[in-house]
Amino acid sequence: MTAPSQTQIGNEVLKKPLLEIAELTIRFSSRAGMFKRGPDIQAVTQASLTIQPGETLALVGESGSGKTTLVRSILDLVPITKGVISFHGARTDQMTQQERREMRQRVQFIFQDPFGSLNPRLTVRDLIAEPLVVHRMGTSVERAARVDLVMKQVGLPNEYASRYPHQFSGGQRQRIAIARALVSSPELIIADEHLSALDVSIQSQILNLLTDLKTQLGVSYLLVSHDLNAVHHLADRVAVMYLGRIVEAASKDLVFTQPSHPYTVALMQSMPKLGAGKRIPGQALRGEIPSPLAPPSGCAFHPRCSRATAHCQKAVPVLRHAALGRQIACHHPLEV
Amino acid sequence: MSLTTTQALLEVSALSVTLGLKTSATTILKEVSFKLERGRTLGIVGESGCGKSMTALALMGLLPDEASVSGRVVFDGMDLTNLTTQQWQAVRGPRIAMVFQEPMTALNPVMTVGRQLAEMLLVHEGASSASARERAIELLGRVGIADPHSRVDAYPHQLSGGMRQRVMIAMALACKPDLLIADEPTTALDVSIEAQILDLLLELQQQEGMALLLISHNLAVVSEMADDMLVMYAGEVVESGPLQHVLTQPRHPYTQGLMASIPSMKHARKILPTIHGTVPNLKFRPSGCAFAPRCEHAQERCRTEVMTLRAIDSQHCVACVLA
Repeated sequence: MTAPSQTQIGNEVLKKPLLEIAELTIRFSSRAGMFKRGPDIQAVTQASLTIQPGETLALVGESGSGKTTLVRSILDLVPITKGVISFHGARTDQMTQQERREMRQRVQFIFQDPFGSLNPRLTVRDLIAEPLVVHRMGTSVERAARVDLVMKQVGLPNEYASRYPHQFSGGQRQRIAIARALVSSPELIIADEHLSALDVSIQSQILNLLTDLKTQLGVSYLLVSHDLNAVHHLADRVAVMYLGRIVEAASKDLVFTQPSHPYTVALMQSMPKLGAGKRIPGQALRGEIPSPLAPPSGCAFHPRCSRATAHCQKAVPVLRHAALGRQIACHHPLEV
Repeated sequence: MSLTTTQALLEVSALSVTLGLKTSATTILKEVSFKLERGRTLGIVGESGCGKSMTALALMGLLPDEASVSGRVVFDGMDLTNLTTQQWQAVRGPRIAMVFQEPMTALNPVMTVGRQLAEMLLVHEGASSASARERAIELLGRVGIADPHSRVDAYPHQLSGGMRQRVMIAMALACKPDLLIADEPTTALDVSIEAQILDLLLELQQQEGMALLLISHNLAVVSEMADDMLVMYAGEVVESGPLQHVLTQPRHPYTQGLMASIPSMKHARKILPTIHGTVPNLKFRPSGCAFAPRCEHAQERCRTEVMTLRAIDSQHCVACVLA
């Protein structure tokens, strides 16, 4: 991202975005009693994102910021209230059954919990072949060959094929989950906090695996993570969410070296760093993320923000374009 | 009691713990030794299954009944390895307290947080229920819970993860312990809340002067909190010493591997160095150095010689023949 304006123009001319999310809003209704309707919960508000082919986009923010809801809506796991999601330029809400099926083949999920997301009664071979069976891809001989190849790509020895998930450690299960996601040759892999359950030594192995797969196969990733070190290692671009809204989005280097939104700055500061010396208390971001049932007026971040003014309590900042391809939603961003 | 210059609050020497009967006996802690003084923080790091939590449970007297223990754990002049159940009650809570990783499972879901806090004071200090409630409110306020007067009547599920961990810390502090053991206290939390909880632990430690034993798989967390550190592998201490020493000059290949495998923002690399393989099943502990099968520097002697922790300078110790 050395010359963003050129890259942007280049992108428009050369390639259509792989995935485009425009003004996405997702609302759930809550219940006040057994039969009484409560206030609506707005989990995602007017979020827009694009992912180019081969690009890795990371979505960061605290729990409850709507990251998981947003990525789940891409595969229809959560109904959309407003907005448009397009895959290769085709709107998902106008797709036929067949087109949806195809999209699901090309967009795959790696879930957070490598223990809960693998069927304990299937062998590794069956687990990895399952997406091929579901999508009716290939003959059984072709499927077996494909499973062997994918196992090799993710570093699972062939003799593991007939074992069951409980016989593996967390890191190996994560490899099985990645193999399952890869087997249908997807263009986009959505990984939801897939590293948080692993030890550092295993995390680095999985990070290396994802990097390898990206260079070898050219897959795109949409990472949901609160591990900023891992995000820094893998991502090309980073989008920061707070209470359902995207508050800052830019290239990885820009977000990490010159964060502009006070929330991004606070997240970067909160991260424990090796070699930073003993902590000095009192610099942590105060308070907690508010409930989406009763979002604060104006900018949702204002009650926790050190730069907030009276204006922030009234007006919702809109996401606007700034220099160097950055998008930001803040009345008083840090000058960078 | 020996009259050394600075009497450590806690002195663990050659603590070994074996689980299971003779034929299937598994040594889960092997000759663990360390000291901890009042007001200081000792960080214990290592992968899952390296004995970090077992060390904490041994200090709390919470090992399973079938565990056989050898070695000494001297806490403020008394040996904890042969206390009776009744004697433990006077230690666990009032003298040594613990904060667990999962505040949701460690708190009782059908009891308000106020009653759980008050219970500590009723049992250990014989407080009246009215004064226990007052103290509970005061404690909730001290750990930074906003509006403690109403939160005292909340059930754990009504609180956020960060607030539940604050309640856990309030419970641990209720009887002013001399030693606080925090086992992965922030692992389940967001970075922003993690920072708040770490700050809280540091502030409370400074105010109370207690010793803190911090267990974490996150080296960065330990590096910001601890004065000294202990690196554990397969139930053994493989490296120990003042934190700055160990972090700037790690001598054990395992410590070096752990540090290198963390993605760093300063030195961005495409491919991260990794420690191949996994922690061994302790039933089948490798002979010689337990780390040898994963160590890229391992030589023939590493597979046969027994490693002992030795000092390479005054305080920095390492259990590796090559260091």
